[in-house]
Amino acid sequence: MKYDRRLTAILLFMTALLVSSLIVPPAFAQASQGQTLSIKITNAFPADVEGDGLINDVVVMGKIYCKPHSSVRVYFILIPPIGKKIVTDAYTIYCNGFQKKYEIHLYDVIKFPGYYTIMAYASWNNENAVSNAFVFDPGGGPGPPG
Amino acid sequence: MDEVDLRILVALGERPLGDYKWLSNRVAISYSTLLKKLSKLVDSNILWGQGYVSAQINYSSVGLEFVAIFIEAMLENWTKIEKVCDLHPYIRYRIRCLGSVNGFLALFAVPVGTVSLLLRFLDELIKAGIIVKYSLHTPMNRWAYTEYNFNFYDIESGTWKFDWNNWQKSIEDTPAPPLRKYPPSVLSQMNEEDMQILRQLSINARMERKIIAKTVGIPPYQLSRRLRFYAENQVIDAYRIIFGSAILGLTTSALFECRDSVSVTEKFALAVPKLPFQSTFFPTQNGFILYVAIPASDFPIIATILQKYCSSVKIMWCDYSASMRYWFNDAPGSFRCGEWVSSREFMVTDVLDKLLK
Repeated sequence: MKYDRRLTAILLFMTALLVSSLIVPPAFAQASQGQTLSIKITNAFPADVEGDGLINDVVVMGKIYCKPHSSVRVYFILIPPIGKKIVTDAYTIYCNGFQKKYEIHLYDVIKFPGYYTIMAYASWNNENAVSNAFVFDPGGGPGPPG
Repeated sequence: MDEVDLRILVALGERPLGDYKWLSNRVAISYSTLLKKLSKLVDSNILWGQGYVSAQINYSSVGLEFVAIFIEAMLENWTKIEKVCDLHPYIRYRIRCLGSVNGFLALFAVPVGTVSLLLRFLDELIKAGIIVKYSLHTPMNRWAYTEYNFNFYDIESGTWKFDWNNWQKSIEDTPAPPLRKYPPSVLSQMNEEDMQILRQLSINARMERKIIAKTVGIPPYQLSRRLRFYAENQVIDAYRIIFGSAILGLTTSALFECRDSVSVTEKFALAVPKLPFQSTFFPTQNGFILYVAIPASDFPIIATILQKYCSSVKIMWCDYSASMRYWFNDAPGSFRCGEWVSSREFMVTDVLDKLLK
């Protein structure tokens, strides 16, 4: 009887642990109250940034809400329509004031047509933030009228 | 490009959806050589890397009305106009042009009965000072297309061997049949999955069928059934070969807006498919619009022939590398509950709001 009660308690504890891990977002996914850091993607589109004649680069634009005079580390995750997700290098963006606009160019990342999803991750001084997921589509390419 | 590359392009033009086995047999090279050669043609930007065969959708069969618009604009607004086009949910194509019209040829396929909303949108662009003026052309009958026939290209001399005199003679001698009718709409028998399939085929018609089925989220047998339905109902008008900008070394793109009687349009509707150059021919209410990619040296010849037959010919050079052939059903949410969204908000207000933002 005593053994059963202990087992039930352990099972309840484990269930509570499992449920809480499912409903509470990980620290980096959501800014906690009082957190100063957050990041947003306002636009992302394919372009020929390199000028190699191929529209296979991506321009990402957005805003970082930050503490003045902080250097925020930012990286992006790009999910293409086919294949593995791409994790970019980290960029350091210096915030002068409480918010900073950014424009980052990702080179040669568009390999397939279709919808791409991009998200930005920012970190500064043990604070982490993740942006909205922005969906874009290369849309088309050159060709005869039709 | 070498001799084998040319043979591959000829074979691809003959059968754009021909499988690799057929292509390798046709070109008389091994399967692995064919794959290597194709990949090289893509890498060198002769074939468009994201899909070098694109399905041309018959807009009338999916309940859309096709409109061609020449837009006149100041040079400083051209980039803005391209953005405007990118934002419009029913844009199909745009290309910069210089000549009789300095601006763009923009093609739209709007839900049936909503051309007035498109005109309203263009009027707003005039008010905003983005465009100067526009002229609208409604294609009356089915289009005609040609793809490059590289059998006419001599790789050693780097010239095209096409007999323009013969072509002109065929215009005079051959009695032309009436222009082809548009197929009727089968939109009522289609759903969102169909629009997704057509989108994939417009992106890359050579994509493996099982990948298309997976992307759309349907079993492969259902895809085969739908493809049969499209063939029976002429939903797909043609399969176009999409070339990268490296093709500009061989030809240059031109547009002709020609006005004359229907009988002249019928003659050219028959003659244009005999050209060995990539072209699109739209019969309109006043004559026809002809896009053709030809060698620069042949440009005066075709322009003279057109002048001979048509009472009015407007000539424009086009910037192929800045052209945009939009994939079908490109705007998310434009097709809902079996019909195209045709509200003023969706087609006018929202687009202008996004532009100003």
